[in-house]
Amino acid sequence: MPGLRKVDRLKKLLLLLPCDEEMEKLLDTRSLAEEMDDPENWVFARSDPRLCGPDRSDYIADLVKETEAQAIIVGGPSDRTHGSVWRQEASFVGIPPDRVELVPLVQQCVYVTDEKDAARRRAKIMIESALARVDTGIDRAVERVKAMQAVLVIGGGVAGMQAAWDLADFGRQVYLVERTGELGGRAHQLSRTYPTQDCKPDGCCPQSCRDCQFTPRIDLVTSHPLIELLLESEVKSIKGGIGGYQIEVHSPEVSRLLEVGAIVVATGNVMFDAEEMGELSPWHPDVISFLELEKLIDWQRKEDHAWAPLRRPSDGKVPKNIHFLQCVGSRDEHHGTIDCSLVCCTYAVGQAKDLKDMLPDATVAIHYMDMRGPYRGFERHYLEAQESGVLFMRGRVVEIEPDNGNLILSYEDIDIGEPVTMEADLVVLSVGQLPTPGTAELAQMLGVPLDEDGYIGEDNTTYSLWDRRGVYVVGCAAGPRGIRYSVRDGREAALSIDAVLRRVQIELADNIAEVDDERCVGCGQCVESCEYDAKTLEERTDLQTGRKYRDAIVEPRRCWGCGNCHATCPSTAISLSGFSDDQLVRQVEIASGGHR
Amino acid sequence: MADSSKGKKKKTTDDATGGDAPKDWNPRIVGFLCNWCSYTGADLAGVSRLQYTPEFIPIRVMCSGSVDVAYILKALLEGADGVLIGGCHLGDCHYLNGNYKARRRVAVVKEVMEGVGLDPRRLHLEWISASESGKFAKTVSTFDETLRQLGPNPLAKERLL
Ligand SMILES: Cc1cc2nc3c(=O)[nH]c(=O)nc-3n(C[C@H](O)[C@H](O)[C@H](O)COP(=O)(O)OP(=O)(O)OC[C@H]3O[C@@H](n4cnc5c(N)ncnc54)[C@H](O)[C@@H]3O)c2cc1C
Ligand code: SF4
Ligand code: SF4
Ligand code: FES
Repeated sequence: MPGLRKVDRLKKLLLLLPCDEEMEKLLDTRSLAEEMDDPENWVFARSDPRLCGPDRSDYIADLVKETEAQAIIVGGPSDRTHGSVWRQEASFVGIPPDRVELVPLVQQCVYVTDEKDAARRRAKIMIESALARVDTGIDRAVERVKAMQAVLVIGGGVAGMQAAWDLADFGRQVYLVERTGELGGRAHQLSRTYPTQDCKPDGCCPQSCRDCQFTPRIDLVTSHPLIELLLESEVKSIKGGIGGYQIEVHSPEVSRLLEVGAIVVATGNVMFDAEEMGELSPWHPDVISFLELEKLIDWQRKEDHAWAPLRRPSDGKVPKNIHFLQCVGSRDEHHGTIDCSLVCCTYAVGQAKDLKDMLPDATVAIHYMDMRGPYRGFERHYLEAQESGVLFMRGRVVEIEPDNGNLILSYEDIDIGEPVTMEADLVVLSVGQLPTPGTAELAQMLGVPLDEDGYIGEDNTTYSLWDRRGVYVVGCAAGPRGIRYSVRDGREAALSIDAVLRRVQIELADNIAEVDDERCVGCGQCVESCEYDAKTLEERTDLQTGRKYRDAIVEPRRCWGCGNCHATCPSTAISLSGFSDDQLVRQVEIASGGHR
Repeated sequence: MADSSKGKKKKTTDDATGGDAPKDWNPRIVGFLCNWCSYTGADLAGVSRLQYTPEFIPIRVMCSGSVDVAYILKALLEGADGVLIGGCHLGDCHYLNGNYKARRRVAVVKEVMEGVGLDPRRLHLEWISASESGKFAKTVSTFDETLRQLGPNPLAKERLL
């Protein structure tokens, strides 16, 4: 890009909103508009109640027509809360987003001081700064890039399968990459999930237990002509950005290069390994996780074994005294995660009730801190378990000691406030959930941040960063959640992706770094400073002299617009549109000396 | 504390001129506030009716790591009495590590300032999250106090001569 083109001076419509009555008492926007109105210098200032009413758009359209304004500056709300509102308003009259400025008079000016004069002076400085920003911007047509229509889904659990199937059903080519040899993920290992409504006639069960859900679902996915299944496969590298990703995938005998427009991350999560909590004797064969219990129950549920009682692992005895421990490696500052793993209470209550049904004479108890069921239907599920005779004991078990073939639990009973010991012959640990190993590496490849727990995390609902990136994280890859929410995530991502890629030409965001070739000396400092690998050095040859040199280039699809490279570049060769050098320098001048 | 300057007692241009501030002088502060945290914290401060000096002028930037050294120096040369940079807490930067870069840069600028006889306390870096409106207002007010002790920016005076 040879020398970035600056905008010429623009005709600016300055709208001072008189909508906040309380603010009007401190700052009279009408007289301020009169004072700042300066048609000779192309500033057209207005303050009018119509700006706050239902006919706002019409009024603005009239004003724009009358003044031939090319930019809109709004004095009143903050960019963080109302930026999108006013950019949309401006788009109705054909003004591009980077020519809209908001001056937060409400949030950052008027109420800051009791002195009216000082507030007014400050308002003027902030408005001038915004006017100057518009006049010193870079002339930048909204950049559009062609969108690849295929989609990559990483992980074939319920969330990934749902996304893949929906996308394929919309007519998109989908590559579904699964690390293991089969689809289904965690939920496929659970013979029953809760709260189930046991196919009551009055409504269909919202759960999706294995037999009900998986056989048809897996078939739908594997037999869909638009889904290419890559089992036992791993993503090795990810280049490019929204609308144009190049993905290297290693499958058992081949390595493939896929071109896709968007990526769904559905890599699930893993269970906490209680091995590190020696005080609970996790090595003992009769101290098992609820996933191991699941295997025992599952075996028994199979038709042929229905007659056989459940037996404990150590000696095959039928257990009479079964104790569940909740929050092992959850809600714990020292082990696993400090967060609640959300599904363990629901699941343990279900398992306990099922055990009680299988072994009516056994004691089945759940030791818990709080019963948490973030589901509609949980409360009934919990009551049913209580009615069936499952005991609920509040308190955290601190130690399990093997004793003569059995296990002794020590804990403080919160309800009676005393330390207690108790005998068990089978202990089930409701272990917490942690991010899937390799999540950090995957995030690095994708150029997306991790949250404080190490998950790729949820999207921001107000400013969708995922739409900007073309990366969507669904199901337990974004943190623990139940099946129906994981499935819904997959569907939601499919819909979002379809909406974005459907445009074929994607509009990139308006704050993206650009390099001025004439200034770049090819030092590479910006490449190092970019956390997202959006910058590279390109070898070039001077056509006249034949001399070889290097210049930095930006992959606009991948740039997050943070401006870090810009602050690093020693030759001021980089501009972040919306935050260019000229803009910032003018703003600094106005802010520094405006009063002198 | 993000700011590590101890304000060493050292003969600087600042010390030579600090006392004779004009009567109606109020320190002018240029504030670079990162979009995701400090700018929102400042929004919240206003909404919560917290007060601070009206001579603080905010400039929105995407990330504290995008504040060019040149802007800081420019502000001081143009006569700002102090420069405040507000960023997300370490580990919370929306662009991974921008605030670490800001911290490094600020340390360098402070040295430069000392070299040219400006008190490094005229530059202040603070981590202010979107919910820390109180911290925002307090940071500006405390900074204002410090600048009052230091007196007007000597470079600004020279510019006036
Ligand atoms: C013990 C337990 C009990 C539960 N009980 C209930 C319940 O009763 N009710 C309920 O609603 N929910 C329950 N859940 C939650 C439910 O299991 C999850 O909501 C659901 O399985 C999440 O699906 P997913 O597709 O997000 O992830 P997963 O099912 O974990 O699938 C992720 C898939 O991605 C693959 N993968 C991982 N990394 C990669 C990679 N880098 N490349 C390629 N593939 C990869 C994995 O092999 C796996 O196949 C329970 C969970 C647990 C752990
Ligand atoms: S830092 Fe500046 S000069 Fe160096 S390669 Fe990047 S753009 Fe070019
Ligand atoms: S603006 Fe940020 S994301 Fe974009 S190229 Fe520069 S450093 Fe990378
Ligand atoms: S985004 Fe706030 S410091 Fe980087």
